[in-house]
Amino acid sequence: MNAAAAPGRTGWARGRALVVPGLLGPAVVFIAGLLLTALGILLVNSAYHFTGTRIEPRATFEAYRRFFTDPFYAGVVWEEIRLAVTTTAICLAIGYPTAYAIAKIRRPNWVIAAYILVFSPLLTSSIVRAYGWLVILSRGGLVNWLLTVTHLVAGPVRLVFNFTGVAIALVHVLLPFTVFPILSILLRMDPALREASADLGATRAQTFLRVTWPLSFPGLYAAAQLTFVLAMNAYVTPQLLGGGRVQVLPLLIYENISDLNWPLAAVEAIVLITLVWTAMFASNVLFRRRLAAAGERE
Amino acid sequence: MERGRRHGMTRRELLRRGGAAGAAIGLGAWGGVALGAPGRAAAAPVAGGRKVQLTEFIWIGGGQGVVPREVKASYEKANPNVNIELYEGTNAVTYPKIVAQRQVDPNKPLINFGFFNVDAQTKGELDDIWMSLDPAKIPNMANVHPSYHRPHDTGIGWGFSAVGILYNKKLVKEPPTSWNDLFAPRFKGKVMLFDYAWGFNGLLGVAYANGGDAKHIDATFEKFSKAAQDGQFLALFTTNEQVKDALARGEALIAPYFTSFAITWNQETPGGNGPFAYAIPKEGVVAFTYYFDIIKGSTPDQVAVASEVINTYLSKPTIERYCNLTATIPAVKGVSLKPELQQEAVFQPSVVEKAIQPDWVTTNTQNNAWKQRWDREVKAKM
Repeated sequence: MNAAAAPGRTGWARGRALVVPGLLGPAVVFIAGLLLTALGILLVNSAYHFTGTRIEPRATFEAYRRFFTDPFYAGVVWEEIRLAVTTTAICLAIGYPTAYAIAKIRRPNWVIAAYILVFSPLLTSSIVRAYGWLVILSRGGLVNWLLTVTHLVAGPVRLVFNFTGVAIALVHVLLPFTVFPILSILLRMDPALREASADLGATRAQTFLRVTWPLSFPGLYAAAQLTFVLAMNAYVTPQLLGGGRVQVLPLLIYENISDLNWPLAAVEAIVLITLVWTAMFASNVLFRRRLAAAGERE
Repeated sequence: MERGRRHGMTRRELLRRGGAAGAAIGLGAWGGVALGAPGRAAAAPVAGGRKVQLTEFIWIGGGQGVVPREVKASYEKANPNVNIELYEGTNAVTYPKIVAQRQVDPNKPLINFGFFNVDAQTKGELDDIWMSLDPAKIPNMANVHPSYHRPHDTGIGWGFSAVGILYNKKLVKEPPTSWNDLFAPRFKGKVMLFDYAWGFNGLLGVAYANGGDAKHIDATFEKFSKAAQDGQFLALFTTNEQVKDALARGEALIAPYFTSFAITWNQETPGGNGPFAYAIPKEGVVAFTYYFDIIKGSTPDQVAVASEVINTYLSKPTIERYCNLTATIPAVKGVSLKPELQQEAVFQPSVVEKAIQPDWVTTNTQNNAWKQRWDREVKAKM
């Protein structure tokens, strides 16, 4: 009987081993296929020659030379990183306490209200949102009016068509992406851990610093990564609120595509992808090392 | 390149065009709206009655979608075998997509025909994008002033807009009078410019106003660069809404742009009394010509339909309605504009005759180099 059953079990086990690849396969092939094809097209286009009006399909790598030798592009990359880092830092500074507070709310209606409030920026179109900020932040807008009547400033200050305006609007739209990963980690945290900490004599601050804060790190990293990537790729907000003063790679890519200078647009896209992937890879390495260090301490 | 150069316009041509268009404004009477009939016998179905699907490119905003929708509805009703899909956008965004699609499949163009401005027209001629139009299929081409015909009929002009300086008339008591007023101290920090668009961001206007031209642009770049560094410019814009909003709110006081928008934006304002006005620089407005084109790769049936639709557009009642709705100066003979437009300063023959007609071929061939200069010498210093 056992001998007769063995082949059946083997076949079943083999079939089971194929379930995971079978389920994952289509998604992996679809995503990886598209990604690799797109990257291949980018790489090919980046090598081509642009005459000034049209593309000639011969490899000159001129676009690379132009991008990496012209200080203008170094300035754009710096502006790009500065904007993404600033936005991410502000989002984390606002997002963590927000997520912490929402995790503490017990009344279901208040929780729903808090969710709606935090996620409301995602319910409106990015263009409408940007125009809204133009009105609010303009010289005659609400913010300048408040600053003036409260005598915080002598006269209206420029809050749009510059880095400040773009950063404010980006924080507004990216905040939900910061809050959500942190909130999900905080909600999954076992309350018994904090209770045990309190039972052992820790103050609230000590409990937060030694229990809650370290355990929320995965959420914090995920939030930082997500916010940083989205800020690096932002187009509409810098376009509408930057007024030409905030030059970032997505704007240049769009401009060069419109101008048929696809080799340069491809190089800019490759640089943007490389920057984002490098940042992701570096933060993952840092996170793993931190986890490993924490494990060793325990 | 050579071909494009042949298409470049001289000042003599400009005067001829200006005079012709000026005459068009004064001719005829403003009548009712009736869409022109195609130049085909009504009994014979277009494309032999076969199903025809094609895409027409039209411009967005400023009342520009009204007539194309009427023409589409009218044509489809008369020709049930035809379906015209309207593709709404700007030439700046759509033209590169047309080129991209041609690389993918030259026999399946993204757009089959539509409206293109002189910038796209010139690019298309350099890139060999446009088909030659057949005057036998588009008999109304004969109504267009001769100077708006292209060599080899690669497109047909139908009108043009004048680029001047828009301003907020409620806040600007002393309107600008010259292209050089873009640098006037009284407008410091209140000047808005379109990003990169040399025809309507003041670059060419300032160049020609100061004795330069598309081939002699260095001094103009220096002027813009210094102004950018001195904080003269509020911001650069890329959409109609951005400049409309900034001017309406008084954030910006002046902006070089299409004078027609001051007219149509005021009409769109409740009560028709918006804050927009335009100034005609004493050195002349910049003329920005519009064309109809059919894109290469379209099937014979699509070409047949596109030709008939273009013929409809070029009929006097249709082009008249389009120009009246969009405040465009017509290039079709015998077209009359409504009295309000006839009274507008920018529609006066003297203004039309004096309009600056830039060298678009040089502008397009230099576009990449100018963009680099604009980025470094203007944007980076703002």
